Amino acid sequence: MALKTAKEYTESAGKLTPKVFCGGKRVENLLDNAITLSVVRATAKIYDLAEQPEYKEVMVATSHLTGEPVNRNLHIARNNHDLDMRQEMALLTSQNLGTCNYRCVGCDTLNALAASTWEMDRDLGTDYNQRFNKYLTWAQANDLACSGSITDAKGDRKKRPSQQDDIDMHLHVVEKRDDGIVVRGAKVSQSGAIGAHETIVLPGGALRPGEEDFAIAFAVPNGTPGLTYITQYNAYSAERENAKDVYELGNPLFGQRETSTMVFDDVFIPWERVFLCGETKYCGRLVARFAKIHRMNCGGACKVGYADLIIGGCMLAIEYTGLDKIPHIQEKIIDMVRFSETSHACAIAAAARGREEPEGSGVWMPDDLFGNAAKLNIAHGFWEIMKNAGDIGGGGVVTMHAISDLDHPEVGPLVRKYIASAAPAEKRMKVMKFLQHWTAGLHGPGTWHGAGAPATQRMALYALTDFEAKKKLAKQLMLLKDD
Amino acid sequence: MGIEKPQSDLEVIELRVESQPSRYFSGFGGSFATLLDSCQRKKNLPGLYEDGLLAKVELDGRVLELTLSGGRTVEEIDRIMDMAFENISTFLCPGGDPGYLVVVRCESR
Repeated sequence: MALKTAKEYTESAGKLTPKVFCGGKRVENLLDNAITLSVVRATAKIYDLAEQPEYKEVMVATSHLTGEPVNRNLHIARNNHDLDMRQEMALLTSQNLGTCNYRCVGCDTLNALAASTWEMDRDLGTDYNQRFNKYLTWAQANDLACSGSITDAKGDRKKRPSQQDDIDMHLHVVEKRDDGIVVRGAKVSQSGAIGAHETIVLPGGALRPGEEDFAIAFAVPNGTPGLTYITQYNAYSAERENAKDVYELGNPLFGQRETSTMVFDDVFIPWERVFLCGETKYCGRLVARFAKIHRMNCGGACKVGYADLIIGGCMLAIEYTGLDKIPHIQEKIIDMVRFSETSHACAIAAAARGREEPEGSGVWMPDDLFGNAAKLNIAHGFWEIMKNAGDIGGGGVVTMHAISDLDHPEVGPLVRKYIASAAPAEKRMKVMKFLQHWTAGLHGPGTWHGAGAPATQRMALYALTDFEAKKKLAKQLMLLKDD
Repeated sequence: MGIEKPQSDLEVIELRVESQPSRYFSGFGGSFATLLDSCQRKKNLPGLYEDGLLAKVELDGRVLELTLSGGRTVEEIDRIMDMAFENISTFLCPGGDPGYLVVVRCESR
């Protein structure tokens, strides 16, 4: 089978019946629930983009395993161009969705596994890379939507996984059998699994000898018995559930970013799908590789796509209110562009300076320094962008009426009269709702924490920077001799 | 770097419902083991949450015999099995060389 169409993906999602709970209720059909439907719609859009001839270069790659065209979300980067197209895909999908590419984390977990399974086979003589390649070949052939799952529930953060009062705070192996393993625990803040066919699971972080049961990486079909998904629920969830028409919402079709806690209640994973089991030494490097890739994409491209949307919304807002020639507003717009484009420049640099890792593996990883700089820059810059958007949009961003008020026989004419400005009320209201989606929505903390909170990027930048070289340069110019 | 030779690891599962012609499903390695684990240990079919759906589960080598509770039409059994396979990423295929057989019947017609 070649690439799936958006229609084919949606049909397949309609046949899936994972055990999903949303807002205290069981979701029987993903297409019937307004919130889960937004995830399916967003995922379908990713398939749709790959069908568009103008986006082929970005969205479609050639499999190094089969030579066949594959969705880039299932492609392993084999050179700098692949890395560049990967970050461009993050930009393109964000621009078109205004929410997650729900296949993005899956893509980055697959790339991290491609490198680390190769490394383990080289060092330990295991057959993980062969297993992984077989799995990837199959996933590519069926163009499966794969989500990714990393963060454990963690419990008491002062304690190591094996010291927790409840051992299930970190996903772990409870049984090893001839045909596979049985795992228990939970992964949190998991984007998009409810609309995916499969989830790629990595360990939550570096592990030590003695923590072998927590050292696991595998792929699991999302309807596997024992898996339960408890979705996030917030004011935007309630708004979507209660909306008479999605037209009223800030991001009508694709919504805010939807995540879930993914509970593994003694879930069976056949050996064919296990890519790491017990090798604690390789967990830290595996997760670091994921972070390295994801920071380039999430920080330097995905959020830049969001920024493009916010800037576009702001330009419409000032046009609709007649403020488009005001200098201090133009200054704020320029600052938004500066924050956004410098982050994108870091992502482009991370791709351009990327290299094969491990050497001989054929897997290309972005430059770590530039990737971390991209993420750290946007983590701070995104708040500035949202602050400016709230400033430019004005109080209406949070005080605007329901768009459905326009249709009310009594207040409709009043709303049309008093909300109109340089443009009709409806246009102004739509753009206010759109800016509300960003400035008063979930994307601020989401951008801050996604791909790791800024503290982790600061640690990485400090560790990656060659300060001795900088000291040497300074001394050289000062004519300061070494002791 | 040239194209690396793909090493397929697919499983083809033959499905027989009552006396109907067989249908075939293809999944990644371990699909049959996942279905079997679901039926034996979890006491249900993947993606189905109705208590007591499985009245009897028997394994004989590579043959899994399932008896569903109550009386159900062939169409209903097909729908149930389609859902079960789909939820473990095992998809309808034209045929091939099945390594496993799943036979499904109902307690009563």
